[in-house]
Amino acid sequence: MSLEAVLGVIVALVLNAHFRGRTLVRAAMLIPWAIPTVVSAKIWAWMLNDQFGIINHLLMALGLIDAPLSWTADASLSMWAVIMVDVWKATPFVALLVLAALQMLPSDCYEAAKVDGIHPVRVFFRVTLPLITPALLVAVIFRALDALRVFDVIYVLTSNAASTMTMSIYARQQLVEFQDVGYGSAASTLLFMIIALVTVVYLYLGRRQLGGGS
Amino acid sequence: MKTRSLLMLATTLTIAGQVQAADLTISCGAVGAELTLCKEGVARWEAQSGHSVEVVSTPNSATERLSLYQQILNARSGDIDVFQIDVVWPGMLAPHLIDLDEYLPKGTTDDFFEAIVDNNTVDGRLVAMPWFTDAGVLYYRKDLLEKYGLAVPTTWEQLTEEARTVQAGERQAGHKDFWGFVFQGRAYEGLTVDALEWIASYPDGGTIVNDAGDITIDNPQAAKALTLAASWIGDISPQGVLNYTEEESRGVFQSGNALFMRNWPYAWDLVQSEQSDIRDKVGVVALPAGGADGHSAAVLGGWNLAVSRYSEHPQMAADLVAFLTSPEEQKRRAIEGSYNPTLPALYQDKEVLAAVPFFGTLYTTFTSAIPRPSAVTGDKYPRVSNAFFNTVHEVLSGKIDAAQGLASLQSELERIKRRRW
Repeated sequence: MSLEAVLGVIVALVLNAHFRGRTLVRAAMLIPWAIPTVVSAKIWAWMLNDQFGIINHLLMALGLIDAPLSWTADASLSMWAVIMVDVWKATPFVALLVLAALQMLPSDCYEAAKVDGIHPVRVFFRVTLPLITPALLVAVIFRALDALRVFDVIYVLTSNAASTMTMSIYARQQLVEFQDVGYGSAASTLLFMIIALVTVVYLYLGRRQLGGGS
Repeated sequence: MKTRSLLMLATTLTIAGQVQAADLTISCGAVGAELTLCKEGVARWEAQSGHSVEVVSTPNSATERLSLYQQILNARSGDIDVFQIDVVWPGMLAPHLIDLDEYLPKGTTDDFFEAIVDNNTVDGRLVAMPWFTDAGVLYYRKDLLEKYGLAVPTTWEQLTEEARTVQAGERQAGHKDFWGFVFQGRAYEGLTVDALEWIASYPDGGTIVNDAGDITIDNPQAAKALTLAASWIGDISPQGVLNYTEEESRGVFQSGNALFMRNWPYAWDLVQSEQSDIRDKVGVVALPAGGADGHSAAVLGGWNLAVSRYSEHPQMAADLVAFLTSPEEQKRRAIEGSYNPTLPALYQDKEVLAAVPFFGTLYTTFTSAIPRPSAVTGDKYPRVSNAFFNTVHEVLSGKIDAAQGLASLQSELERIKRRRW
C-alpha cells in the first residue's frame, strides 16, 4: 500500500508535467485499473508460471536468476507475487486521485518558490506534498479498505493456500466450501467491524494531524 | 425510431426466452477434451429427442466446482437441471437431487459397476448415474527409460532413483527444463487424492479416516510416505508443482519436460493426440507401491450425472442422463477421450481396447480403487479434506516435517469429529 502511494505520486507527477503524447500516456496508465481483476490476475498467473512464464524467461535471459522461480507456489515468494500484482493494479488508482489534486494546485506558490530560487525537491516536500495530502489520504484509505477485503487477485493466483489467505478468503471458505453459515457469517461480520474500526481510527488521526498542521 | 427498435429488441428477447424455457441445462467439466465430448453427446440427444440443451462449463478445480454447485442448489435454483458430480459428493448433495429410480426404467443400473452404484445410492435413493470412473495411474516416457536402460518403477523409492538418474542425464544433454516427476500439488482436492495414494500404498499406512470413522492418519508409515514426497520437491519435481492441478502437470509432461506423471486416464488421449510432442513415447502403469512390501494404491475418482430436485423437467433431464450414460455413448467417450466406462462389459470391447490398451491391463486397478473417506465423514468431508491437503501442502513446502504435521492434523481432525460426522 505504501508502495502504491509512493509510486502513485511519482506517476501522477510525471503525468502532470507537459510533454508530447501526454493524453495517450494518461490513457495507457489506466489500463491496469480498467481490466477486470480476475482477468488481469489470470494473465499474471500465466506470466508467473514456473515452467512457461515470461517473467522467469526474462529474468533468466537477463542473467538475474539461474533457475526458474515458482512465484505462486513457493510460500516465501507467493506473498511478494501477490503484492506485486496488486501494486501493479492499484497504482493507477492512486495516481489518478493525486493527479486530480495536482491539477488544482494554485500556481502562485510555485511562482513564489521559483522567484526565491528554491530547489525543486524542496518545493515538492514543502509545497506540493502538503497541498496534495488530503487527496493522498483519501487514496490511501480507499486502498487500505481494498487491501483488507482483497479477494479476487489472491483467489485466482494462489487459491486456498494457507500462506496467502486473506480474511475474505477465510470467510468464503467457511461459508461456501464448508457450508457453515453461522461461522462464516461471524467471520464476515468481524471483517466488517475490523474495516470499520480501521477507517474510524484512520480518519480521526488524519483529521487531527491536518488540524494540527494548519 | 429508437423506441421502435427497442420494442423489437424486447420482442425478440421474449421469443428467445420462451424457446429457452423448454430447454434443459447441463453442467459439464472442461478438463482436457471433456467439454467437447459432452457437447457432442448432448447434440446427439438433441437430434434424437428434439429438445434443446444448453451446456455450461464449470471450473476445473473440483473444490471450486463443488462450491459453485452448493451455491446454486442451496438457493433452490432450477438454472441447472443436470449436474456432473464427483464420486465423493453424493452424500453431501443428496438432499438436493432427485431419486433417479423413480424416473428411469427398472434395472437401468444392472450393468454398471456395483461399487459405484452403491456409492451413488444414499438412503436407498439413486441420486446419480455413474458416467465415467477414474483412478490415478502413472504415465512414463518409454523412450527415456529405454535410453537409460531402466525398468518401469514398481515402488516410489525406485521411481525417485530413476527420476533422479534420467533428470541428471537429460539436463547434462542440454535439456535444461527437464524434471523427473510431476503430480497435482496445489492445495485442493487433487492433492488429497495424490497424497492418499502415497499413504495408502505403504503397508499399514492406511487411510485418513477408516470405515468406522476413527482417525488413523498419525502413523509412522504415513509420515514415511510424506517425507519421501517432500524430498521430491526441488529435486525431481519442480517447486511449481505445489501450485499444479491436473492440467498444469499435463502441460509439463506433454511438452516433453518430465519423465513421470501421476494423472487420471483422461490424459492418455491428449498425450497421444496429433499435437502432442510425445506421441507414441508414453506408457501407462499402475502407481508404484510404498516400499518392497507395499502395494499399489489408486484413489477412486470419477464423475456421475445427477438431476436437480429444483429442475422444471425432471423426466426430460433423467432421459438425458440415461442417454449420456448408455453403453453407446460411454463407448464413444472411451474411444475418443479415454474416459473410463462405468460398464464392466466395455472393458472387453475390442475397439475400446485398441484405442486405450491400458483399460485391459489395468482393469483391476480401476475396480479395486480405494475411496476417499467421504461416506463416513458425510458433510464434514470438505473440512477433513481441506485439513488434510493443507497439512500435506505444508509438509511438501518444507514448512513442517511430516511427523509433526500429521500429529497436528490428527488433533485437528479430532476437533472436527467432535462436531460429529
